[in-house]
Amino acid sequence: MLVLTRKLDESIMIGDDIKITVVGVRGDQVKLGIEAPRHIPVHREEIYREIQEENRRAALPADGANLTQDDLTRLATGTKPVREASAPPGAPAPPG
Amino acid sequence: MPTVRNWWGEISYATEDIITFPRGIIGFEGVKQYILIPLGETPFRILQAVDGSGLAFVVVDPNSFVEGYELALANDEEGAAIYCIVTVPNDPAQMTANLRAPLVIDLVRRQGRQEILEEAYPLRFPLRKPVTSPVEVAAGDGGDLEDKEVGASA
Repeated sequence: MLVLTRKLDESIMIGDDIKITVVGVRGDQVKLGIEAPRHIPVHREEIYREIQEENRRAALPADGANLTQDDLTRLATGTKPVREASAPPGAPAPPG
Repeated sequence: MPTVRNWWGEISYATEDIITFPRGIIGFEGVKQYILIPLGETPFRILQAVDGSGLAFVVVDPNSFVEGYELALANDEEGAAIYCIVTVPNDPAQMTANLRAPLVIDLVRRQGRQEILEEAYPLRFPLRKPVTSPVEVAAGDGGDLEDKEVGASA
């Protein structure tokens, strides 16, 4: 790992178009400003790992061992009451 | 016409149905070609890989479940479809949608990507509850040094 020492307001360049600037230091927290082209994703590592883990949990098994088309249909139709649960327009107001 | 095999059997599709994710989906960066399979008249779809990996996800139109879920899309992406990946545990009643990292799919260019939102939208938003604002259930990430975007990135 390349280790560089920087002071407040100093930057490093990564390639031609990514610039990281130290914009704040307080206690054990460092605030970084990142300028990068829009197509370069920039994320906190722990968030990225969380998404990665959740995607892996969400991936369906290729052999469908625990999920059938019926399950999925039930899943899909079973969620409809979520929206239908609210009183339809024109329904009588609840007493009281 | 090409076909893909999943747990339903063989599904035929047209090559123009293919949606390419140039960077893949986070954790599955090597899988780049998918099709979207409708599930009847529901807000759910199956995002099915067609590269032979067998990878598939249940995805959902988030606007069916949450109000005010809006993304700041790049100008050239306005009109793109937004889907959230659904995690289906052994008890499907406990399924959740990932509002933190939605899929942005340009259905005209047939290109997609997974975006990680800076807003504190929940990673596991329960789908079995009344329509509500995702912000109400989101936890802020605190800290003295607040994160914010200053100006537009280059």
